[in-house]
Amino acid sequence: MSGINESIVNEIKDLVINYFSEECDIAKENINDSTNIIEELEGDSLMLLSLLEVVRKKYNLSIELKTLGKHLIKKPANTVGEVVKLTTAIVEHGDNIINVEL
Amino acid sequence: MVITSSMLSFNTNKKLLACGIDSEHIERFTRLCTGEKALSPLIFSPKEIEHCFSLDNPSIGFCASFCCKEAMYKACKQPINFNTCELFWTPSKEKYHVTLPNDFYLEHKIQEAIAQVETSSAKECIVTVFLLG
Repeated sequence: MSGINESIVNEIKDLVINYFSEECDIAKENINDSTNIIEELEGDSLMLLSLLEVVRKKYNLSIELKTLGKHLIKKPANTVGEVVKLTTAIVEHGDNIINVEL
Repeated sequence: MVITSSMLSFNTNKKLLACGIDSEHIERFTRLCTGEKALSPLIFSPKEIEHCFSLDNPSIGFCASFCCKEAMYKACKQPINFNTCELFWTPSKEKYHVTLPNDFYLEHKIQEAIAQVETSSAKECIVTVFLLG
């Protein structure tokens, strides 16, 4: 999927926030871009991989964990905002995310 | 989590190159078994999924498998494709074994990978991976 529009970006943001709200049992109003995944939501790799699967199925994505892992080493995603940005990039670029400067 | 002691013994003339460890609560994987949460093909291979559902307690199987992948990632110190690191229980030998693709051994310069799996009284699964070469 290339050149995603604003409505998809907003859809992804809603998906990510709804996901963390449900998984962490926190009201959506209390989750914003600067919310820290680990410190405030007690998130971990299992939670993030489950989110990735939700996104993968919804947008029919093709990506390898190894590729995603290499990207995260260069650009970690510690906050909800960073996870939204990363998720948007994955939807837009798939496995080519390793070659994308974010 | 409470682990009082753990012991691993195996016969080998190979050198210990690295190890990794991970633990997870087994109940987190119950939702995978009931279908409440999707089994991601990015994490589990089809063979693993079939194997875990054949076990008396699939939740432990999936939990141990996931912990093995995380432990392997930590031992390798670089990202890996989780679905290529598979953990299987062999009832006749009463032990788990890890399978990895041939190019994994070449890429990470290892000759053998061993996984030790334990469950604690706090209903957690702990997996330690040892990479030998």
